[in-house]
Amino acid sequence: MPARIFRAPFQDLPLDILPPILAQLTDRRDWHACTVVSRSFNRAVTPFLYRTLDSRIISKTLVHHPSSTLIRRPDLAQYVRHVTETGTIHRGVLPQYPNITADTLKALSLCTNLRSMTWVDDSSTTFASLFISFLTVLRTLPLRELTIRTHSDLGEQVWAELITLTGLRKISIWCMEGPPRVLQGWSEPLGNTLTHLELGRCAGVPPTILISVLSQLPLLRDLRLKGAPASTIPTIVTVLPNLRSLDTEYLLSGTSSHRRLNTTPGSSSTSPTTTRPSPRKALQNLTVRTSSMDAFGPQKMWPWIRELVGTIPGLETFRLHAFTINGSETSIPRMFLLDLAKVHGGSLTAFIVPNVMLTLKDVECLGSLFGGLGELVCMVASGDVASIAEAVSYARNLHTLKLQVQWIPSGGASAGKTKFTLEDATNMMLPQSNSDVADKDNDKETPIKESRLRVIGIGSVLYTGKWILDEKDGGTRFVVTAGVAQDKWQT
Amino acid sequence: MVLLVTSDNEQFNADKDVVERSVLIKNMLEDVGESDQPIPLPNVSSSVLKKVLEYCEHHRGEPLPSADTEQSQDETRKRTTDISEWDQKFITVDQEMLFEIILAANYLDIKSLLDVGCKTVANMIKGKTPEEIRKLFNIVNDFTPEEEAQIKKENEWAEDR
Amino acid sequence: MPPASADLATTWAFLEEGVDHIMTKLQTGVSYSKYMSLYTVAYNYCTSSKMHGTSDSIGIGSRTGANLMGSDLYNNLIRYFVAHLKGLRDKTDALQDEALLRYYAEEWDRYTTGANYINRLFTYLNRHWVKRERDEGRKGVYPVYTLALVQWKNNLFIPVQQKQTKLANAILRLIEAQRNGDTIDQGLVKKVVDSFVSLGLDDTDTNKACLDVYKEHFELPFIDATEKYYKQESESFLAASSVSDYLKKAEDRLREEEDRVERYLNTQTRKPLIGKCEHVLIHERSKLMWDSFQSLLDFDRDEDLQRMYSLLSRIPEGLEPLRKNFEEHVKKAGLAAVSKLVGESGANVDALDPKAYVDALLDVHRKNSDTVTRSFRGEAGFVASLDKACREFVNRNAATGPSNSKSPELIAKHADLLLRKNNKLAEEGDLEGALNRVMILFKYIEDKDVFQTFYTTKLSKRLIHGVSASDESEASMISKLKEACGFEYTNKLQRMFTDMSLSKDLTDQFKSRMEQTHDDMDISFTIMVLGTNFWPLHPPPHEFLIPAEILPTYDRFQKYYQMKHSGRKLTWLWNYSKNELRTNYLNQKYILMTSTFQMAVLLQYNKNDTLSLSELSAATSIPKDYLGQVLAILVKAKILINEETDQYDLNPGGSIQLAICFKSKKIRVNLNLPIKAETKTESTDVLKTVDEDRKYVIQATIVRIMKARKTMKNQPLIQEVISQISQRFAPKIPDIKKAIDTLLEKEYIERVEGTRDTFAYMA
Repeated sequence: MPARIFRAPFQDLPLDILPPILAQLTDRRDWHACTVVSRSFNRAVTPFLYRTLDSRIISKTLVHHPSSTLIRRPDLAQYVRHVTETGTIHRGVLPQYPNITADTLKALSLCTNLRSMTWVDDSSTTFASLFISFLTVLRTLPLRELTIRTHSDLGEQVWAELITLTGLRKISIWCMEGPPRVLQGWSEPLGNTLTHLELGRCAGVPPTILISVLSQLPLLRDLRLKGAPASTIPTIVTVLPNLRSLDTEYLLSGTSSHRRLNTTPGSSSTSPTTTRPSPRKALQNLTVRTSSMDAFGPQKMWPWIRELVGTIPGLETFRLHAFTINGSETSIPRMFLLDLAKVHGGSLTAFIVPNVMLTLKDVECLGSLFGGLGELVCMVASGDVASIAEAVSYARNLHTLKLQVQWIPSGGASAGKTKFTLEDATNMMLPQSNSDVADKDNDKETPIKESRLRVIGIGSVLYTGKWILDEKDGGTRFVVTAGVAQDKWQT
Repeated sequence: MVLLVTSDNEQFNADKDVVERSVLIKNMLEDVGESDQPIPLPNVSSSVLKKVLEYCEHHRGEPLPSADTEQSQDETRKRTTDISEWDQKFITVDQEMLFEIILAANYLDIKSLLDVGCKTVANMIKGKTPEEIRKLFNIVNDFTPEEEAQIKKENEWAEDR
Repeated sequence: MPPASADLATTWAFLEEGVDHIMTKLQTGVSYSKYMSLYTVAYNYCTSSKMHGTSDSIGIGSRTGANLMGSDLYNNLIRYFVAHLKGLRDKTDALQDEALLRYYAEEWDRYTTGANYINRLFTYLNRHWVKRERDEGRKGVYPVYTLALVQWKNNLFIPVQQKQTKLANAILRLIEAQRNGDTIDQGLVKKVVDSFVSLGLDDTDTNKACLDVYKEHFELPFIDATEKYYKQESESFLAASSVSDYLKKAEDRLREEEDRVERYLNTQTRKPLIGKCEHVLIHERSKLMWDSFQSLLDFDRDEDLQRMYSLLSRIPEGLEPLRKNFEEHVKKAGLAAVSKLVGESGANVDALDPKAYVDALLDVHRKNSDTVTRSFRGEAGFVASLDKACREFVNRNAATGPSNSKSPELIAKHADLLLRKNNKLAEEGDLEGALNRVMILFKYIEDKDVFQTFYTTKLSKRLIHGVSASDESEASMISKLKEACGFEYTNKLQRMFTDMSLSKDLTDQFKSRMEQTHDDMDISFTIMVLGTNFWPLHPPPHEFLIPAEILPTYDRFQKYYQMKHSGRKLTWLWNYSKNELRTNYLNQKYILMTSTFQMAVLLQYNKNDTLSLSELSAATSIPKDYLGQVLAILVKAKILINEETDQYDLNPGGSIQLAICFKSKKIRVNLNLPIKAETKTESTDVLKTVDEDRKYVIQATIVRIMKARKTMKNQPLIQEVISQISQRFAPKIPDIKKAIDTLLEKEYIERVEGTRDTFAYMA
């Protein structure tokens, strides 16, 4: 054993500190690595490693399933909070594991602190008794969150079982096939617990049913609906007094005329046909997805969005995912931005419209209208880097900027730089007090003084700025690194 | 103003709302009542307290985490995976000071500072092999080869991802 | 202060001294340095296992290091609490009732204050060791404050309670004393009861309130005691007092118990407590209340009724017997009122004054409607009972006998009287009110079509005789009827008004036309042209020779009208016409106001002084028997003199002379008096009309239904017909069957082959 010559302060930390440190890790590989570092690490990290379990197929012949470990070491089951189970591996496709379902169920029943379960089944046939056997075990556990992702329909039998589960706070259901099910008969018993809901298929459900089901969930804070006609959404928003986040599509279905949209400019904020049961809180996050921005889509969509975000200030995040079919870009009417700013100018911090083309003037406008804007994602067209930097500089609190840039080639002598470099990123994050510029433009106010920008994504390159410790003099310096941006849709 | 006395007997004067970032001191002032007595901090040295007070000064007036239940802890953890700019600059110190700050934050019960410290250490662990982690913190592997094999087998399901 | 590396014994000795100081004499104060050293010593001990401390571990996954340290302190705290609480418990042995509660409350205060303090001193233990243990799902490990409560519960509360539930009983005795009228220390009770609530723990979430201790140790025995107390009290109270007094008592008691919850119990107790009180005080005594309801009604005990209502409304099914009883009561009152009016033997039935009848019905309604509003808060069930009773006695009573049409007739007549000129009520300005009151009764009429027919007849009379009080009031009444029964019901009535105003214009136009084309108009002429379908009027049943004096005017108008509306047929209703004749054969000139038939008779005397009945009949075409009645009035008025006998028809050849010496005080002499036969036949005519209308309505309804449904069985068809028609009248099943037969005959519908009772619509 080597003598400890140098002071090793880590060794002097109390063991109590290890769990909060390990809790900050997020990647299972890191936790896994920690299990064999030392006994202390092993003890501290095991609860985190077993917090979230899932079953996967490594190959046709090799399955690593945590259930065998849990059955051998039942003491580990107490740490389990979340389980993801894949239906496919329980369909007899693994002849060398004949007892896999029984083992999994047995292991699951040991997880007495289970909070959340995800069921994934991408096979194309319904296998009711399998999922029911899992539900039977889940019924005995303190489950609060349930996520279901299946390809085939759950079927009446499973659904009848499912809607007897109570106490759930979060439900997310995406089934590709079968009739749409929107919690009919389930929403009432869930009324005093459910706060999060995702329904992957609402298309074809009569608006009255959708509204009456949702109105029984007064605690709902977070709602995602796919396939609900746009005309019902404002009513839904009014029946949910606690709704803070809404993720919905903008779908103009043919049968959606039951509620007339108020398209009078300026008065769209009043809800003409519904009575509000209680003053609702402001919507904090709104995500709108629309697949086609055809000729009549946008002009009706903007007042619709303004109606959703209402007259109570508080919107923090606005996302619009607009996919155009014909390849042309969507733009946002300036009036919409002005109207939005009237109510939410003080609260909006993120404006995320990755597929929308904004003019640099729009960007400038956003920066000055929404003082707290911290994140901006959009498309722009520009002739040079300098004008982008100029437009962005109006947003004094911006820390994340992600742009898809269309460089406009301009042949003139005044053509600026059209290639974004690490240097540009550094300059935007940490503007130098450039006396030349100040002298030249001293008749014009120079907004560039200090910037909070730390993340800049241009196309697929992501620049991240950070202060790090300089080993030599003990001071700090600012370093910008370039990397490949993550999937651009995951903004 | 509150008078703090460190383990090396140095005295610090600080505003009440600054020192009350420490839940320990906040609770004590509440329980015992305010007085002119100096508050002894037998486990904190002056060099660390200086640093801690700098942190408290910067964050004064921010809401303290409430007496939390399991659930809300989970939520705050998710929300604060990033370290703010100022904190990041603040915590950019040598390892010895980093651990001293963690220790003091843990003792004084300053949750946000403890989080910043723990995140910084966690960032050092990220992506490393067990051997690299041992080296980083100068940890001795105290497992027998059999024990290590057993652990590996038990956690096989979590490998490789 | 022990050093950071001190062992458990040294550490705990230091900590225990501090803990005990806080738990027993906190009032003497704690210094900052004392507080910090206690916290620091606990912290130091908990953190004494470091990362490098590897030698203390044996095997994988065993509880070691920091776990041991935490549990060391935790277990010592438990030991301290157990010992401390034993001391407190011993002192309770000698205490009873209020003294016990005082001691308990005082110690509870001291203990929880201290425990809060300790909790914060050991907050490091809570943050790390306790949190970890609980995360791993270990039961029975709590944050220090909760631990203190658990220990209080196990080492003080439960043992004391186990001695004849000493604590709960002490509280219950205080509450009983308060129920008996004593003043008690409510603050004390509240404090103790609140401690019961605090002792409830939800194992999975210590922040969540859980009432199991409160419910088991206080609420359940409390509810039992309450039941016993009120059972006994209501029994002895009723033995000595009246039901009225009992109602008051029960109301007071319920209010008191509500207050009790408010003052010192947990709000969740409200439901079971009030539920139990309602059961004992109301439900168990409901039979008694129901039985005395009638006498309260009889003596108009409004306040008692109100009290009984509000008490019984608190229990399920409590009001139903009252509603039934009330319905019967109202019905009896209504029937009695009418019987009184008609007289014992039913002698006054024929001469019944419509106003007296209506007033009698309204009186009963008003009185009981007031009772519903005042005593039963207008509750829908009682309103329904009132309506049901009223419908019964309005339609069937001593005045109506078995006839369904009598009541509508009387009410329509009353409305007619109201709407006529010279009605006192109209002059008093309360005509509108009176009409509204008619509508109250109208609402209850089952055969609204009978009313409609009578009303129409009466209205037509008012209009053609010009005796309506005002157009406004007429319009107001029609709009009320329309509101009650719909547009169709009043359609005809409105058409009648239209005809009246069109006729006025027509007369004017005709007059000015005649002034242009003829200069020999010495007769002033007014005409009413009335739509055949809208007016309940019939032409005279006999021929009539138009007197030559008016024939030119008659012809001119016929021509004028045909020219204006070619193709329309005019039927002259001589029997409704009237005339004014000027006398020239007397010294004094009189104006005689006559019917057309009287006019025709009198005109004969322009050429003769004496005529026989036969001659008059021949000259006018009026049949002799009717002519006799016409003459009778003229003779009675002494315009004509019948020398021989009053029996005109017995002597058709007898002569009737013009009275040459006729005298009257008035210049205008009204001879146009109703003929007896006419008034008598009126009612029966109306009823005949109604019957005809009904047949038509039933048939039309069947056709409408069958057209929509195509095929239908007999029984459902009859049901449907009844439900569609009952708004207007109550159709009789034999009538419906008859209508079905008629329609089968007329081939509007047919029997479906192979069935006995299914019909199909024939397009």
